Amino acid sequence: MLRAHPKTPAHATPRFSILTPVHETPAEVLEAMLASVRAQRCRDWELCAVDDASAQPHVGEILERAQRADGRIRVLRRESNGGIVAASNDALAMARGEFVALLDHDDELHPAALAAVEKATAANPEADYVYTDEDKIDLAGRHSGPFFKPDWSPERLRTQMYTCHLSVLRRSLVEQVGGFDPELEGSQDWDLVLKVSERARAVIHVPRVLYHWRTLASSAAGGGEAAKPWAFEAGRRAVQAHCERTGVQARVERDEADPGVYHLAPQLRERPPVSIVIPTAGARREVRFEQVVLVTHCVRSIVESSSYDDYEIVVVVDAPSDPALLGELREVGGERLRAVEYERPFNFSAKVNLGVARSEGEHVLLLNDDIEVATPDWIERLVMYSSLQEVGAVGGRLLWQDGRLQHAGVHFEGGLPGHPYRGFSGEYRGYSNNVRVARNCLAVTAACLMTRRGLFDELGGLTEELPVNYNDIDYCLKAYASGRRIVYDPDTVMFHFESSSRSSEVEEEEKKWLRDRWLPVTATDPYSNPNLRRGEPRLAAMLATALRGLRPRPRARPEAS
Amino acid sequence: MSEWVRSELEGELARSRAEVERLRGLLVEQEAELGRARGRVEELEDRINRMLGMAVRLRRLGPALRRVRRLRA
Repeated sequence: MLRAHPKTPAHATPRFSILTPVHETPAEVLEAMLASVRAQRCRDWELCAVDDASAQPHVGEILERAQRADGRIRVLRRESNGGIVAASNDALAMARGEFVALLDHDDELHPAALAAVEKATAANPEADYVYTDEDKIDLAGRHSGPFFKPDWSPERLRTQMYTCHLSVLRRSLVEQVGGFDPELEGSQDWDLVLKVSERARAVIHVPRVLYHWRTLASSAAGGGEAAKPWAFEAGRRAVQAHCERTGVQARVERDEADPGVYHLAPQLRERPPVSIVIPTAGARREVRFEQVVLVTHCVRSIVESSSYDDYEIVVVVDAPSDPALLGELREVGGERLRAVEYERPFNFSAKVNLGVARSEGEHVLLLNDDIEVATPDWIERLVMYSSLQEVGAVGGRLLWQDGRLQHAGVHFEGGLPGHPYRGFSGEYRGYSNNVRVARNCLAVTAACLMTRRGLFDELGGLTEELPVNYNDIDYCLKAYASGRRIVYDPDTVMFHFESSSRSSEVEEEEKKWLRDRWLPVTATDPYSNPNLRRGEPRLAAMLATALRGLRPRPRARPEAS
Repeated sequence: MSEWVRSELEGELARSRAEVERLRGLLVEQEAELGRARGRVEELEDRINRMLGMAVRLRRLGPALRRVRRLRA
């Protein structure tokens, strides 16, 4: 029979039910897990521990002892071993809390974990899913590999289980989606989070390391794919099922180098017409040690490389146009090509807007003339994302001629945009695979950007007050402010012949314009973890962390009478 | 110009073009190799800068940490 702990809050149901399937856990590790739960500053919890028929007697003994010591610890022993999904579902069936928190039997919670989640849910009553940052911990208790995560990024969750630990989900939603799926053993958490996030009113990220994932050879944290090879295939199936439920027209594939990374290959049911709009001044430049007219080179690469059928190319040239250039373009582009003359003084935004106004496609693909296509299915990939109503714009991974990274999404520091990993080698995967997973960001460059025509019109196109710089950033921020997501797709790869030595030519006036208009949004980039922001004064936060260690540590509780 | 000379010249021109293409290919490959090396240098420089930044912050934090240690003791 369950006994109430003296300090358990008066109301009958706890705020948090911690679900922990247990199986053959080493004694010291199990004790550490239990101690970390009992050390929670937030006291409004219950631990639903299910012993999945462990053969080692110490497992049952430790759990029994813990149950006797603290009435909030509830233990169920299964008669036969059912695997992690069956044990997790048993734990879920025991749960009475408003939220369920997922804790593995060999991991530890930070003492502030539940308190921080409690604070987040109190501040956001619609929060149905909360996740935190995490790190790794070895048997000696040494911490390593902190994973500082971005705020809620649905596109990223399809290519990487980045939210992982600690995950706290509203129990009613977990039950609505049917709990843990026995068909997806090993990736049942990812599947559950995907299902819950499809219905969640709000998903909240707490940017603090509040979960310590034990690196044992037998755990995914320590052993990688070798430890649980089936789990990664189950992950692929979980995301595939999610894509089918949510209308993402894709086949899910696994990354060859990293078992925790997945890719979406487009499987379009319809192929809507696409307009590729290329503003150009008809410049010549050396590309791969050969003088070329950039726009002709660009159009040729589109025509020769693209596997998509239904597209037109709208080239916006300055008036009076060069007949030789137009002739060359028509020869290369054929019937797909439409040339539009721009007759006003130089204004990149106006030039693009004119091109879009003269185009007919359902999706508009803005492209610089110094681009070369590297992936044949690039249009399919961009349409796959652009077709999602909640997506405002999508861009790809751009490389310089020498293969180094030029663009992998835009991030903001101090309210101004920057290109993370710019100049790094093309093989660089980025912090936690940032470069190789699809993810959300506040903006992508219009050197290659697709958006829906309807949205482009709704947002007023590119802002003509910005004739040279930041018009693409401003467009993406307008889309973001209207509730849409901006997507970086790592598998849409293009060469961008922008000079790698080009200095920043942004005028102070343009910076001021961007800051004045968008600082409330860009001051703290939601996709950039505060712990990773460069040059930010972290002194106060570090001191606060150090001082927290001075508080009296929770003592072992006396046995409940 | 006789047919024979013409065809010889055309052949020579084709060989020269092929050689230019081959050399251009080599240059592109070497540029990519250089790009990988330059990219790696950028990565390492970035890492060094982060480490230096961390060292500066830790140094600044030193007196406070010493006080905390004294209080704990």
